[in-house]
This record gives sequence, structure tokens and C-alpha cells, in this order.
Amino acid sequence: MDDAEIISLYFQRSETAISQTATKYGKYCYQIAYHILSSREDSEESVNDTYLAAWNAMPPRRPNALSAFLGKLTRYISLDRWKNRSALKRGGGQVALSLDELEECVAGGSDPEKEADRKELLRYLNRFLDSLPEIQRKVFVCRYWYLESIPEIAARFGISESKVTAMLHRLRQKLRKRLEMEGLL
Amino acid sequence: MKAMDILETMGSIRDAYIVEAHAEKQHRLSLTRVLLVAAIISLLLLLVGCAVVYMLQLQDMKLDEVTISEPAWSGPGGEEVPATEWVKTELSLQGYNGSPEQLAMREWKAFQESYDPDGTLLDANNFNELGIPAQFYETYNCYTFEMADKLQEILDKYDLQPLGTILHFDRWEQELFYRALRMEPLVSADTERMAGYFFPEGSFHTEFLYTLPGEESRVAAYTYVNGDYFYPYYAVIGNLDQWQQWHYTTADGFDLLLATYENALRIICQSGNDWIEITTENSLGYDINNLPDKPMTKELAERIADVFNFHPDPQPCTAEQVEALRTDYPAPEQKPDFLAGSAMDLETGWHWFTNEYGDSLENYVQHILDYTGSEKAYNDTRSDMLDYCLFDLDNDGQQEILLKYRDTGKYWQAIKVFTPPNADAPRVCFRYFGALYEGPVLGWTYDETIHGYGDCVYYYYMDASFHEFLRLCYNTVNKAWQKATVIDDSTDNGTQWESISEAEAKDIQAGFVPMADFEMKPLMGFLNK
Repeated sequence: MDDAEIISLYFQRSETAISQTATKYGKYCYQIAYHILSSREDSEESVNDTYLAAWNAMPPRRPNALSAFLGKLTRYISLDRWKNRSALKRGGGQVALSLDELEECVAGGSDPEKEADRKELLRYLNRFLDSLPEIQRKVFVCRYWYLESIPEIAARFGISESKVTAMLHRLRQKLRKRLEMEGLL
Repeated sequence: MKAMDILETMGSIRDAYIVEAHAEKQHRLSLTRVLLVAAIISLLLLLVGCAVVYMLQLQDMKLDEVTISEPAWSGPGGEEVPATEWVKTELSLQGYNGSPEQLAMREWKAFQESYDPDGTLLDANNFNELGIPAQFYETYNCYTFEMADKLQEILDKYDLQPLGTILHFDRWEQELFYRALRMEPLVSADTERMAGYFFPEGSFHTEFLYTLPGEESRVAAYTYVNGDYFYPYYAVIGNLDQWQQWHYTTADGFDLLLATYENALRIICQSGNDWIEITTENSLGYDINNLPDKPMTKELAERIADVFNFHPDPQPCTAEQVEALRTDYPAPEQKPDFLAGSAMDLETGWHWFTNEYGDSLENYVQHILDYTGSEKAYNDTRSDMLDYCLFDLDNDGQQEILLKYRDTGKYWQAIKVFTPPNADAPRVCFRYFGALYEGPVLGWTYDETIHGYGDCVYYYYMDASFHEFLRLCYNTVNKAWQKATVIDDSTDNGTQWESISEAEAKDIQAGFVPMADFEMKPLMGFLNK
């Protein structure tokens, strides 16, 4: 079933909307959740919460890319669950590693006067991603959106793990420089 | 700003970038769809005078590639056999590179290869005294709880389910296999000796003989993997780059990847989330006569592909259902061995029966016909395929009976009546051989690689008294030849080997000219003459 048909089921308030979503995107959402939570039970809960959030959002939302829409919902829900359950103490998922890496992109301490609101930061992140060659953008998004591990990213694109690590390091340096230039740091 | 701000804000980036990053995975087309797209592109380009070849290859299924080094060693004659290297490639039986199934198999394989290196833990749980759940112990070979936990961790990570407990079936239970999984036949050609194993979820592996019309039987292995469950095994082949690969659409419309190397054929079919792998060779099924393998041609490969069923659609079952069905297929009564009741002179190689089979030629021939006619059990011999002739092999004035397979052209036995050692009276004696050359010289080939006993093929040459005067040895791993003219199997180093070149070996073999055919008659008519 294509995305437009699935979205129509939500608009018709059909019970099959969720089952069709699960069939097509269940595994996709689960993988996103698992990368954050590293727990089968928590990940399944996040995926179920995603379906509920999608049911509540459509209508009126009619996303252009259903996969991205669902993926974002899962990501938000999973990150919230991770923060609430102090996942750092449990050492789970790629979130802790990603946060460590992204610390390179931020100033040494929190500066309230230079805090940009999320909309401004989002605009700069999109422009940063716009400027990247395709493969670098994909690697960056796989790491910091999908929160995939280095070996997974290496396998996905058929490149070595060391190349992925080096590429991400340069990209973080580039992002930091861009945020500094934009006055966000 | 904190790192978490960036991480959270990343969540709202352009949809296009989110979709793009996983485009390879999300929009991964099935093999069928890929081939259809490729076919359309090929046609369009052909119309403008171009041609394109698109190939999805075995390389996409590669798990690992290992170079195996074998050190130099000293042969039995003291000669130096040089070190060799060969490439071993491991292929996934489900999933392409980067798929969850392949990634899971890589992790599980890597864990198994490094776990319990000296086998101490395995020795401590030889019969599952620890009580590992049968599903993990038997299907996935987990002999500690640590292994079972690790496997579960990998399955959770990739959202895969484990298969249930493995269920075996033997060659007399072929119908049980089909009934349990509620499947149509896997092959439209004649099959026999089908045996293997399956799982309650429908994945299975079976090996059998199949026969294309007008041809000899061949051995095939058919593996079906239900893609929703983690299949515990993978395939191992040699150097992937040596395989010729192409796509083929069967007469039934199934899109396949065909791969050949020398006499071997590998067929891959993806149907939705499920995978099928079929392997076969262009050599006779269970050939005891060691005929040379013939190359697997493209034409033959496609003809073979056309007889297989690529939509078996196995249905789930339970172990209890299978065991209930099994009572309908009791194991056949074990036949006594053909040679039961016989004696042998180790020095000359002659056999004879001490019971009534050795009393007369008629009794012995009747024994052969009875044994080989009831079931194709003894070395694949069939009574209707045996011919005989009379020939005085050793020029003693008495004609021996020579038995020959009509289908393969190889000889089986020489039969002679004389008084063997330690016997009081003449007995019907028989001796095995495979070829008859001018001289006469008798030949015999023993291929120990067929049964996995070793790496060598031996060629024996005997005079008319069955005294062996020459032996050749070909090592299939290091491709080295040796010959021996001093032959003594009574001690370990009794046979004196010397290295020879392949050219010399071929010259020696060519020097033995097959004796012209005699008037052969069906053995079944011997008793009516």
C-alpha cells in the first residue's frame, strides 16, 4: 500500500490505518527507537506510542513523506523516554556516544546570551546539511538523526569504519565553525 | 547551547534528508522488481543502439572472505609439497549487504568464532546437561546460557525472531516433509532419496537426487528461508570472482540469479522477504565410478532452473503435528549388507560367499539380481543396468564373467570359480574393478573426496591376476600428482611415492587403451540362457 493510501485511512478514521502503518513502517520505526533505547520492550513501547501520535496528528496533518513523519515521531518519543529514564546511567544506545561527539560543536559552557532558539538552530542545521556533498550528508544524518553505530554506517555505505569516524570528525568541526560564524556559539 | 539541543533539533531537519539517508534501504527493490527495471532500461537503450547489462551478484550476499593458507608438507616419499593458499567465501542465505539479517549473521558468526576457543565449555555440556532451551541448543548450537543470551541480544537489536526447534526427516519420510509443510513438490523432475530438515516456521533444507528427462541423476540441495526468522546457517564457496553470474527468468516467470563455476550451479531467488538457494553439479548422483565431472553450461543451468518450484509456500507447523505424522512413515527394515556372509583374501582382493551364494554361479547371480532389484541401495546398482560377458581374463583356459554397468560403461566385477585360500572346495569368487584396458590391464579409481575421507583420488592398475603394478595419486587441494610402482599397503610407508608432473600423469593414463567392447548381454537373462 502506498503512503497516500495509508494517509487516507487515517483521514477516514479507519482502524486498518495502524495495521497498514505497522506493516510498512513498523520495522523502520523500531530500528530508530532501538538505536536510542537499546531495549526491545522500550522500543516496542515507543513504536506503539508513535502509532498513537500519528493517529492523533492525522488529520489535520497530511505529511509529504510519511516515513520521515513517522520517523520523527518515533525519534522524539524515544529521546524523551531516554531522558526520562536516565539512560546515561544505564549506558544504553548510541545517544550517549552521539552527545559526547556533539559536545565538540558547542561552546565550553552554556552562554544564555548566545542561546539561539530551536527555530534558528534548525535553520542553520538545514543550511549546513544543504552545503554538504551527498555522501557526507547521509553519513551525518545516519549518525545524528538515525543514531546508527559507526559499524552500521560503514556497512550501509560500503566504506571503512575509520573513514566514517574521520568523516564525522571533520563534519563536526565544520558544523562548529558554521555555528561560530553564525554567532550561535 | 548544549549537545542535546543539537541532537534534539536534528530531529526536525528536512524530510528529504531523512528519506535520502535511508533511501538504499527503504527503497530496496526486490530482485524481481530490480530485474524488471533493468529489463526495461535494457530494452530502451537497445532501441537507441546501446546495450546495458545489469547484474545483482553473489557479492551482495557476501558475509566474509578468508584466505586459507596450507603450509608446505613432506609427502610420503619425502618429496616437498609446496604451501598453497585458497580463498573461502561465506555467503548469507538471507539478506543483502547492510540488511538486518546480514548484519545479525555477521555479529553472531563473529561471536561464535571467538567464543570458547578451546572447547572447554562445549565439553562441559555435550548432552545439554545445562538444560539450554531446545530451540537455542539444537537450532542455533548454543551450548551455554551466555551464548543463548548473546543470540537473543542480537535478535532484539535487529528485530528478528528465532526459528523453532529443528525437525529432521530421512529419505523414507519425504512425504512427511511435504505434508507437514503443506507444500507442492519442489521439483517437476523425478526425485529420490530426499532428506533434510525443516523448522516449524517453514524454513527448510533438503538434499536429493533429481533426473532430467533422458539424463542421469544429479544431486541438488534446496534451501528455503522464511525471511521473518533468523536462519542459523550460511553457505561457503571458494573464490567468488571465479563464478560466472547472470540473470534468468524461468518459464514460470520467476526471476533468478544463476551462478556457475566449473561443474557447479548456484541458483538464488528472492520472493518477497523469503530466500531460496539451490545448488547442484553436473556430475552423476552418488557416482561410485568416478566419471570426470562435466562443466555446467549456461544452457544446462537454465534447463535445470526451469524444473524447480520457486513458490513452495511452506505453511507453519508444530513439532507435535510432525511427530504425529511420523508414525505413518516407519523406517524401512534394514537390509543386510550385500557382502554379509562373505569372506575376503586381503592379499589378492578376491571375495567369496561362504553360504549358498558361493555354491554356484546361478546362486551368486540370483543374489545380485535380488539385492539390486528390490531397491537402488547397493552402490546405486540396478539389476536392469547390469550386463555381462565371458572373457578369459588371465588366460588360464577358464572364462571369467565380467559385469558392467550399461548406463555408465564402467565395469563392476570379475567372477571366477576357484578354490580360495583356507577353503576346501571351489567357490564362486568375485573381485571389483572399474576399467579394462588392452593387455589386459584392469583399472580401478577410488575418490576419497566423495565421502570426505580425504583430498586424494587414487588410480589403481592391475595385471590379469589382479596384481597391482602401478598406482597414481592426485591431490585435489594442491593439484599435485604422484606415482608408485612399489606398492605395499601392509605398512604405513610400504608404498613408495614419487612426485610427477600433470603431463606425465596424463601420459601414463593415456597409455592404457580401453579394450574393445565384447558382446555384452543383460545379466537379467543369465539365468534364462
